[in-house]
This record gives sequence, C-alpha cells and structure tokens, in this order.
Amino acid sequence: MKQLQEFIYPNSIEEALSFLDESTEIIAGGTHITVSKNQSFKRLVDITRIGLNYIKKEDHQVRIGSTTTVTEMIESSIVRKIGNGILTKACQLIADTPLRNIITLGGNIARYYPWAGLPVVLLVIDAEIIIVDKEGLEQTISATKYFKNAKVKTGEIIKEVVFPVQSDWFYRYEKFALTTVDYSWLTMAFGAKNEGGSIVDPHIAVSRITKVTRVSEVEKLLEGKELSKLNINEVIQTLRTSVNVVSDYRSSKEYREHLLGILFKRMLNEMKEEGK
Amino acid sequence: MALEIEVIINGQQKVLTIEPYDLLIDVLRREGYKSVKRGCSEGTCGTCTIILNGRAVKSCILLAAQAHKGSIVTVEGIGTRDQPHPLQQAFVEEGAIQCGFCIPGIILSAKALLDNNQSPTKEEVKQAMDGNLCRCTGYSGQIKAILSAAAMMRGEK
Repeated sequence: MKQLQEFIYPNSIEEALSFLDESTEIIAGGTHITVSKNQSFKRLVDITRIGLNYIKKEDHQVRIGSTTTVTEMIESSIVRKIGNGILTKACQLIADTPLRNIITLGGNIARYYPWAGLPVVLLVIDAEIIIVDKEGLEQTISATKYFKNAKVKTGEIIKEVVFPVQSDWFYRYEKFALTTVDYSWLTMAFGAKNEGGSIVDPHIAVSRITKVTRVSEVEKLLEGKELSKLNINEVIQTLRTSVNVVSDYRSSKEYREHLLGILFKRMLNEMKEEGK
Repeated sequence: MALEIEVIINGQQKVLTIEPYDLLIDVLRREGYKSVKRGCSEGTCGTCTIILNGRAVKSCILLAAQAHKGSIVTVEGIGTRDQPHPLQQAFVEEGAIQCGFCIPGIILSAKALLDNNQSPTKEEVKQAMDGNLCRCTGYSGQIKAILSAAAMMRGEK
C-alpha cells in the first residue's frame, strides 16, 4: 500500500466530496482496505467524522447513517423494531465481535462482497439508499435498483439508509455457515404480509450462491396464494430453477440448490405456523 | 507523505509521526507495545486485538491514521507483574494459558466486555470472544476465568 500518500479527515459531507477523485478511496471501517487487491488509490478520505453516525426513529421508518457500525445497530432498540428484528439478526451474524465493532452499514453497500449479510435484508424490506452526488445533491435509490445496476460512483458518498419499520410483516433471515463466525455459504431473506391467510407482496432475496438478487419468478408465483393450500414443493422447485446458482470450492451447484430449497421451505412452514 | 496523529495510549497522550499506509499494529509495536501480536494479518485470528475508544478491534487490518484522536488500551496498560488486572489473575488461577500467544488479544476482548457489562452470562462471554482464536489452551478454561474475573471485579471474590 506504499502508493498511498495522503489521509484526509474532513469535517463535513461537503468537505469530503471536495476531495473525491479517481485516485481517491473513501474509508470508514476500513476492514477491506488493507486486504483489498485493488490498491492504486493515492488518497484516503475518512468519512467517520462527518456526522453520518446515527440511528433516527421517524413515524414509520428509521434512518441509519452510513458510518454506523454493526455493533451500534445490534445494541439499538430502535433497530430491533425494523422488520420484527430481521436487521438485528442479520447484524448479529456478521463476522465476529472485534470486526462488528468497525464494519459499517455503508461499507456493506458500497462494496457488497458476496458474503456481505445486509444487502438481502435491504432488498426484502424495500429500504432506500440515500447517496450524495458530486454536486452535493441527495439521490434516493431503492435497494432493488441499487443492487441491480446502480453502484455508488466515484465522487459520491452513501449518506444513509431509510428502513420502513413494517413490524406487522413476516420476515426471516438465514445465513448458512459451518460456525457462527464462518463466511456465509448461502444467505437469504424473505418478507411478506399475511392478509387473512394469504401471502401478499412477497419479497425473496438470495446472495453468496449467486450475485445478490431478488427472485421475481417465485415472488409472482407466491402472490395472493393461500398459505394453507400452498404447494411448497412446487414453490421450491421453481426457486431452484429461477436462481442462477454457481458452484465454488466449498460446495457444488447441486448442493447449494438443494440447500436453497430446504431453507426456503422452512421459512414458508414457519409463516404457515405463525399465521395459525 | 508522513502525518502526525494524536492518540492516548494506556492513558498517556502521544503525538506519533506515521505514514498514511502504516498499519496500527506496526505503529504500536514500533512504539514498544510488544503485547500486540501479529498472527494472520487479515483480521481473522484476533491476536492483534486492542481496545480502541472502548471497543475491541483488530489492529492488523486498521490503518494507524484511523486511530487519530482516539484512545487505545493494550495489555501494557492494564496490569503489572506485581499488580495484575483481575482478568490476568483469573487466567493464572484457572490455568487458562498455555503458549500464551493469543492471550493479550483474549484479555483485551474480555476487558472490553467487562467494562461494558459487569455481569455477563456464559453466552455473552462466548459471543464477546468469538473473534479470538486459541489453538492450544482451549476455550472452556478461558471462559471460566473471565466469569471468575467478573465476580472479582464485582467484589464477590
């Protein structure tokens, strides 16, 4: 990392923006910076001192600043209300204690590694990502759009994420791994409303076994279906064929497809049970 | 281009001249805090754990520049041979140390826990220690020692 010449501590978003260019990287928690392979940046701009560390409760939503750490989210009683605790659970399953003490919400979004835990949660809860662009203007991007094609660009800063509370929805999050501190083998989240025994507005997101994505084919299939009459085997068969599962050195495509079906089957069964 | 950072290390105010790419672990060891051990160098094993602004963090994947205006605690700052910290005393009494390489990091993760939680449960201890690997002593003695130190610090022993 000897190419790094400058480390800047701006005091405001405006000041931070003024330093951003092609040879500059933003640093917050910084857990990826020292181990990252792309090390061509000559300047680092520390955004942990520009007032982006907050958790604010509003009427039906919560605003979380991008440099808020995972530990701070876990300790927050406000965060526990988001999606019946789905965000808190996902945060608890990220890495280990000393890492959770520095990993930030924004870092999970700016460089979403395949094993990052939070993108699927943002997707199933319809979170909105607020990005400040070069001119200092705030752009609101839905998580669905962001993770499809809208990565934060050079010169921009992720300011915060807005989470709807939606505590009357059914939510589940699963990180499948061999130990609690292992990298994820498969990460998925599911959210839906139960209206009189029927599934309404289902959201399914998966990552690690494919590029983080929602699974719209299965969402369409589930929409309006009565839970008691649901053909779960048909649903998980569609899920397995709709997701473009890739293999890696840890597990084969077939193993991961099987796992995907099992985890989703459990979530649907739990939704059935809860609705009774 | 070198820069100066202000830090408090074990209660002492310091101004350190560093390069922007210096890792926190390297700067601490250069300054004589040799209890901070280098293990995996990628933020996995936890031997380099220190307390920064009240939280346990891994100094091998942090840049020293990130600690500017922060407060650091290493094992050098928490006890001496004659007056060990209750955690150090408890580790000796429980025989929770074999080779000792991981112990400075383990003591600091445990201290960060006990500073924020006087009466942790066994589960809370396990969670607080989940970032520190030990490959020879084993964890059960260490967990016992941490619970015993917590009792000592509450004045129950």
